[in-house]
Amino acid sequence: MKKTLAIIIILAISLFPAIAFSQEGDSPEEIYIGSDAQLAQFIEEYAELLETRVENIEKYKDMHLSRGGSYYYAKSLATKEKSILQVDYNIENKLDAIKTRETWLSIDFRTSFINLYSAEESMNDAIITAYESKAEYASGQKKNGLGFISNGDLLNLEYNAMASENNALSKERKFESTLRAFNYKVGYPLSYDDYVYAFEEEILKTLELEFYISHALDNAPTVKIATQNLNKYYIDQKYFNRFSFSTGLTYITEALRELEINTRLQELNIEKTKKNLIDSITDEYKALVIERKKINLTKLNIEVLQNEYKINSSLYNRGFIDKEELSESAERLSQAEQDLIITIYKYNTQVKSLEYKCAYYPEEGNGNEK
Amino acid sequence: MKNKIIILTLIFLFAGSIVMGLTLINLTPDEAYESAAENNIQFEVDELNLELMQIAYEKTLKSASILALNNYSGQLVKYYNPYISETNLIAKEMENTRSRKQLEIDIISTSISLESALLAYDEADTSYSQAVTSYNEALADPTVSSSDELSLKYAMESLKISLHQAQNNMESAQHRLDDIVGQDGVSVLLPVEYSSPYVIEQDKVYESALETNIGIFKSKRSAMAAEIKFDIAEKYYDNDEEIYISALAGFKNAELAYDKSLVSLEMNVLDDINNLKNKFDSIALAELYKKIKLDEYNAAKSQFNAGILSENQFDSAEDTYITSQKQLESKIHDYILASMRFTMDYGYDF
Repeated sequence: MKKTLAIIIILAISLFPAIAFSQEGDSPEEIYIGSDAQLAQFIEEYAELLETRVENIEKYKDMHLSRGGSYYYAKSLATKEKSILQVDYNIENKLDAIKTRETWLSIDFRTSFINLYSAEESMNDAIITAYESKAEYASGQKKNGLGFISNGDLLNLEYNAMASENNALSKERKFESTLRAFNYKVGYPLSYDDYVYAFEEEILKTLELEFYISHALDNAPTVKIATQNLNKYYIDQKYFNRFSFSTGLTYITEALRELEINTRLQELNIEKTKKNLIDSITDEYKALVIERKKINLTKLNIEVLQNEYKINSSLYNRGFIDKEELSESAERLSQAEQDLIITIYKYNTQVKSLEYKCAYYPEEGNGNEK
Repeated sequence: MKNKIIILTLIFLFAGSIVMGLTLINLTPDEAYESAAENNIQFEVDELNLELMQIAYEKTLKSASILALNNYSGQLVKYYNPYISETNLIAKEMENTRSRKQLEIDIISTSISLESALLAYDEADTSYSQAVTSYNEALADPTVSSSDELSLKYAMESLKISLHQAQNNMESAQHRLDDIVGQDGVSVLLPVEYSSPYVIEQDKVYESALETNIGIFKSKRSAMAAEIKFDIAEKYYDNDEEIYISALAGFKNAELAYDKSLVSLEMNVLDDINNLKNKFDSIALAELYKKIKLDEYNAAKSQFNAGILSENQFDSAEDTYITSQKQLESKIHDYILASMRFTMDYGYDF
């Protein structure tokens, strides 16, 4: 009887958010992304860079060239070309920064959202345990009055009731704190009436590992910026190779050697960056394949529990088990179904994280698994 | 199950083993290091950075000879800047030497991780095979209910995922080792010999560290550089002028920092020797434990052969013995790695 009541409480608690958390307009995720100051700054800077592009390029085109010897002339020619190139690099990099920030914010929001849910689940479990312990203590008091249990046993029950009550209160406070942190992140105080626990999603489709690697090598900001820097060294080399310099001048010999070393260091840096990226994407992809299999395992678990529930229904109808056992069976099934939704949500977050690493941003609504 | 000990021994002593269809190339730690040194990008980066520092040092020497005027700034250019630049150059050389020693440690630690991953895969494979057998037996048994079959299928699928995970870990560990060594399908024979930390002479470790430890070197040179700066300031400024006071404060601070680093070194040496002793002692304990479990295993074997012990009990004795063997291996590896790090940190071999 106690367990049945507890199950009713669970259902009431778990249904409450689903009923109350619906509203129209921007989702909390959209509000969170939309209110990010850094993203707003990037967008503003990007617009400014675009607006001043022609002006900046013209400015560098008119740059004064040093005529104080072939070395300085080559140097100023290289600086001019690099400065013009940098104008477009800055625009490209700022656009990348915007996309990266948006994706990161989305992943961050999803992770916080799941944490909020977990804190609430944990609180709900603690409330139920506290309810059960309290009921056991009340029953113990009656039994003690009738002399069925000792004072020592009753004291233990009282202790358990108090401990679980304290635990429930602690979990409630923890949830409140997580909710406050979540609201702070989103940008305005949300309450139960304001948002939706929208975990239910289609499983995101993934592509071949080779695609992700190839996309990352071409588009990941770390590789792009390192390649831009290398290009600038190549421009220096191009102009230095165009002229002949006096080898007797040590500062020129040193500068040329420094350029050679820095070019090679940059080439090695790109090699290392690409290698690390490939390794990291491969590991993440492999982990994702396993997570995908875990979704199937969760589905199989649902099948097992559905089967169990079917058998228990039959046993209940024939009077072999009581209603409490049947309700517990139903609860296990319901919990497994909820677990599936959460597992998919977490899996999709991992997919987004992989895409983030590869600088791959599929259009919204695109890429859902059939 | 009966072959588990033999399989395990083969994994430990393997030569020409095959993992996931890849023939392994067996190398000694020295051979692995030679191969790694040839293929290591970081070494080239280190050498190039060293050359940049050499150029920077030569530039400061040149400036010192050309630009040094007879005033405070000029004397800094002449004496202080070359000293700082020389310090950076020598520290970089020391860092490059350390980087080579670190590579030796990386090879061993990655090989240990690979060995653990291979064993974990072997265990996951055994568990999965048993689950497959149980499931197939259930399918063939008409008395097993469909509900129980489904539960066995769930257990089997769950273990299949664990096996997949273990395979990923194994492949990843192999990839890391191959990457360091610069060859595909490498296996490094792990060192088995080690010395007792009770022979370590603390004073000699300390002396050696004073010469070889990069942190101590930098700290000592900083104090000396600050002294040079103060000597120059003393020559050009009165003792109530800001530059004089600032140089004096800088000198005193650098001296204090150096003294502090010496005290810290002494403490670290003592702590690390104690740490080595703890790890070494735990090997002796693990050896004793293994011996006890081997005796129990041999006794169980005789009883099993005589028919007075069940197969399950015998298997359990075998498993416990295998676990004790793994624990001993792990303690030895842990100690060897700690010894290598100790030698790298203090320049003291034992």
